[in-house]
Amino acid sequence: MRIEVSGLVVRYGEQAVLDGVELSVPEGGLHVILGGSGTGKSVLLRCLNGLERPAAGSVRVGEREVTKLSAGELGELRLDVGYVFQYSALFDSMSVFDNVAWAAREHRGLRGEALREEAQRCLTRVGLEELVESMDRMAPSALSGGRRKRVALARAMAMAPRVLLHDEPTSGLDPASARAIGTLIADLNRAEGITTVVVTHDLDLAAKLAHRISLLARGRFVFEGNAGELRDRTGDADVRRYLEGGD
Amino acid sequence: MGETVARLTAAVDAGLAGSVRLVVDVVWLAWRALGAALTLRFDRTRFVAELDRSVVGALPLVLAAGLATGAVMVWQTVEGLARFGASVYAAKLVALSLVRELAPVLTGLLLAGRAGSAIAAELGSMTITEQLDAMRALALDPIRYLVAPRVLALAMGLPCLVLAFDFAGFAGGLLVGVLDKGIPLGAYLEATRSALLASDLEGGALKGAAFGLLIALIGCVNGLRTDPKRGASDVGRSTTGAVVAASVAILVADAALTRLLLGWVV
Ligand SMILES: Nc1ncnc2c1ncn2[C@@H]1O[C@H](COP(=O)(O)OP(=O)(O)OP(=O)(O)O)[C@@H](O)[C@H]1O
Ligand SMILES: [Mg+2]
Repeated sequence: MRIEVSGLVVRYGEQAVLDGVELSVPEGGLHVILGGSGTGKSVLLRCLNGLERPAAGSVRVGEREVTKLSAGELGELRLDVGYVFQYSALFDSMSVFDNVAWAAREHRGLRGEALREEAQRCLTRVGLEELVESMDRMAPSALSGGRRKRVALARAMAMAPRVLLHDEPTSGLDPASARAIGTLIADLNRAEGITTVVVTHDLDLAAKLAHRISLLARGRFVFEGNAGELRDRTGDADVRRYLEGGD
Repeated sequence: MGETVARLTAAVDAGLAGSVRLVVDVVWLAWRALGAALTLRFDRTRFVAELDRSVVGALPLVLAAGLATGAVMVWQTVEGLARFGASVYAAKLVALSLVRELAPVLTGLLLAGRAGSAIAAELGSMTITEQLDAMRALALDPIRYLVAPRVLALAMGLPCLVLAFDFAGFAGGLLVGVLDKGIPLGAYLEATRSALLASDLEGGALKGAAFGLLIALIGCVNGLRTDPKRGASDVGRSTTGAVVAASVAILVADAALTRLLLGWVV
């Protein structure tokens, strides 16, 4: 599914957090959105699956105009769009298995052994095969931050999505885990053709994932290109502020 | 002085606006939750879990409260009635006020504190940790999985708890009346039986159902309105708000239902 955003405006009170964002991600593409803290990266991502209603502009995902969908139609859209939250947002009163299996049980009608196999497949896919054994007992709160991120990704994978939205997939991770997550995201995109949007302030991750990078500042994209071009664009005040901000 | 009045007026305005918003939200949520319930599109497992936690779990509390209330009422009323040699009427008085008023209202208030706060706190902390958004992102409807099971469980469970309160209250009154105040057992039982109509019990249960509905809906509304930007302190505010609002709603609804039920019986 392709993603097409134009003239996107999101306001909170007087303040326009996003003010005319344009974004185009082809089917099977991988797009990285960079930006400093509080520039509206999460808000932008939330607009892509209808968690946020923009004040103006259009968001097309596949054939659907997200801003015009009813509650029921949004539900259908979200079957195709996996969202991995910045702070994982795992259901903390449920086991790891129930976290991963819930949506597959409800939406894909999987039960019993088939459901267990699907949960195992997803956990294995995100590199958590050692959790398969204990997934019924394990509470998300007992996991490290890096593993929680992976479980959150496995939960999104269990919907068999055609689009994946990642919010800060590497924040709070040690460099080795961050690299592993980066590899995983790239691999899911390449091997399964999942259209992917990654929001991050981590330039190393962006460089690794490459394809296309946009830099969000002052409510809109101030740069589009690859990581090398971004590093060279030091004449631009917004780019310099981002690079030197050391965020 | 003028400033105090202005502040007071502003506070009253804000309070009224808040109440109106709460009523609107409760009605809206009730509409959607009952829709999910009637079309059987709610999570059965969670319904049973909520019954167990909020209703069965509250049983010891409700029984203890009923026992104490029944006992105290007999002590208080016998004291007065004994002067007219009418101690046995205590049984009638206790039976009527217990079944019609005290059991539903006290059970409601107890549950507002116990279950209403738990619902608001749980949904509130789910909201601030983005678990509600995570559900929406997975196309899992919070009404169906979180709200409807709780609303149904409390609306169906509270009448049972009211009856349990009735029962414990009789037992408490009976113990005090017979053992401490020397009312003959047969006379006490007969007085209780003759005082009560089936409609009294039904009325009490009906009040219980209404209060259960209010507690769950107000708890859910408060939990869902928790502001992620304000974090944990707002969960505290939601929880307190849920208990206070549910308690007031119970007392107001009780007045309305009492008038309605009396109109029916007479
Ligand atoms: N629901 C909301 N109500 C009011 N303001 C909001 C809301 N959501 C976001 N904002 C504001 O919008 C701005 C952008 O928020 P957002 O969470 O998108 O930033 P971000 O780029 O994801 O930052 P970070 O890197 O810290 O995650 C912030 O100033 C935030 O305060
Ligand atoms: Mg963010």
